[in-house]
Amino acid sequence: METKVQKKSFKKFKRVFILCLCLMFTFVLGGTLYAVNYSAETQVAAVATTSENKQVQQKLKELGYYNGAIDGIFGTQTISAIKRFQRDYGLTVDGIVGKNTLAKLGLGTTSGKYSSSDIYLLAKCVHAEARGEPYVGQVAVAAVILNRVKDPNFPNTISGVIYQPWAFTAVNDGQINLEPNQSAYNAATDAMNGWDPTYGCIYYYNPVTATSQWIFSRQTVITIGKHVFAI
Amino acid sequence: MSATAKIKKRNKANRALIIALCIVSALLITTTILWLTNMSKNNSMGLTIEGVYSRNFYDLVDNVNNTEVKLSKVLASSYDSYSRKLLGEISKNANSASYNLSNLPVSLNGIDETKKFINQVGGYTSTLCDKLDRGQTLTSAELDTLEQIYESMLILKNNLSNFNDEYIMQGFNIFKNGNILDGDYNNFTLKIQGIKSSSVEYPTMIYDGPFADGQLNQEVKGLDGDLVSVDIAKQTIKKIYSYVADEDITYKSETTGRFDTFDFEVELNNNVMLYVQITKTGGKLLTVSGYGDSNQKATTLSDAITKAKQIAKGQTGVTFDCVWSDVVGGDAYINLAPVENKIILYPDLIKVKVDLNSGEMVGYSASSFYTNHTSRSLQSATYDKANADNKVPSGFVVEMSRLCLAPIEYGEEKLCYEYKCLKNDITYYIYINAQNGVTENILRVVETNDGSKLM
Repeated sequence: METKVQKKSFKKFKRVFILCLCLMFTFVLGGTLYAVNYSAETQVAAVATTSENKQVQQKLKELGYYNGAIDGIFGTQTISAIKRFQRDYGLTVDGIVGKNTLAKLGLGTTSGKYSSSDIYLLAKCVHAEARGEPYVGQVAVAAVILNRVKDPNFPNTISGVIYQPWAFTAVNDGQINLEPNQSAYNAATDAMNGWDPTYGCIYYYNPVTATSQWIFSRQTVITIGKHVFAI
Repeated sequence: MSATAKIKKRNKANRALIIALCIVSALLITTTILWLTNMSKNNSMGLTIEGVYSRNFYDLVDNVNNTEVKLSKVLASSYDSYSRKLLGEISKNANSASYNLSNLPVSLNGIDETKKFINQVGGYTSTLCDKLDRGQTLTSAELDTLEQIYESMLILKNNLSNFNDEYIMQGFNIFKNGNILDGDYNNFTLKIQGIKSSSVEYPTMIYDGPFADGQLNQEVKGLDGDLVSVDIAKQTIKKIYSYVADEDITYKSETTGRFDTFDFEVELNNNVMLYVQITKTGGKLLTVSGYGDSNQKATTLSDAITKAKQIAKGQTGVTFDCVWSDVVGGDAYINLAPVENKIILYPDLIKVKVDLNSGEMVGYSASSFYTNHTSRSLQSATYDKANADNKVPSGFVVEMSRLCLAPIEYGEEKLCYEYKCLKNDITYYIYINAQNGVTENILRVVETNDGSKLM
């Protein structure tokens, strides 16, 4: 009799267990698919928002209102910088970056300003390839990119040169997507304004980490920091 | 042990086993789903990239084919207007071919000569097209060069066609063969190198235009004097930054290239680090690289310009006018040009950057000045100024006009009337040739997030 009861209870347990298993499977499957989609969606949204926020912080920093990190996060430091800016420019002092504040910052769509996508892209490449190098080394890297644009062996645009397959390690390993710092921006601006401490170099490499044998055959012009610049 | 106890124990063991199985199954299912999702993503990404590579390869083949066909037509054409049209199209096809080639995963040193050849074909044919536009005709030497270009392009076309038949048509995957670099090369590079057969030498194109070799190897005209020592070079720096202690000027290295220089690191009082290059010939200040680390502005732009002019004159012995200035962040960017007989010499530009917080010069570039500055016999304007004024399009309000020597394109200098004009709140600079009244160039000032720029 006892065995029958136990068998019955075991059967009941099995039924409950299978139900639980099904529920668990559904949750795991649903959760995984949701997570995959959610992650992709939030990533895109986050990039869009932080990118705009970073532009605002960058501009406030350039104008002397903000001294914090360009991280896209609107904390108290950023908000008080926005308020100071709004006060100085006769805007409603609410700490909110609306259409008027964006326009005064030169970031609005109605301001008639051009986006400096070339300088931004150049700064990204400089930051990815030469952060930690002396400032002149960063200008030199930017100058090499611009020299390549003029050289017949390379693509004819800044984006073409930077994204040319196998041209820059930072593009292959994704470091190109890091947000550039102020030093990289300044270096890119200087190079765009004609500064070229390499006087026409089209190659550079780190002799310690370079895997190419061919690159060592190029004529060295100057060594700045860890990079050798060559023609 | 009783039968009940045995059953209880067995049930307990079964339950533990089932729970363990459940956990393992759940983990296995999750991992499989993630793996499948990733696999599917990777496959989809690989196929997308292969699609981009394939499209560029087929476009490259098309553009090279079109270039070859149109070159043969130019050689058969006896009408300049038709040749001009064809040369314009060849230039576009060659530029597109260059774009396609640079989008393929060829390693950096893979097919240098072919890339250069295609780029120069674009530049050369565009220059010939401009020549025909100006009413001139092609010389026999130019036609000979076109003939040689055609021969090389024919070989390139055939080799590309062979590569297509031998590999692409046989299912060769560009993405898979191009995404791993083994030392200097990847498999795709090794295969496509065959498009430049060893028997063909690409012709030399001598011209003043885009991608011409002459543009890359400009002669330095404005540098003379004796070779100086490192110590004398250091003295040049001391003259500019007089308060900087000797130990804060560190000799770093030397540069060997178009300009031979001694390179120093200079630490200013406010901890700003500068990299200063002094030419070995004449001991002249060539470059200062650095930037002020503050957005405070204790110095006015006007004072910064005065300082920039003083330094430039002290270094070159030439008087400069400020032709452009802008403030970006805490730095003032100042462009200076010499003035001779009331003519602004734009080719001899010196660029200066002043930190508006400290008032110190933190940037200086005199490479254009030393490359171009030479004693010129400047001609006087033969085209009447009043007639040139009439060439300014209606609706443009002239704010300023003056004579200048303008660098037009590819090293050419022309005496022009420069007009600064305003239309619809946009500033333009119009350059009208002071010898024949032809409009040589129009520049527009555009406001960007990083200050004003000329386009």
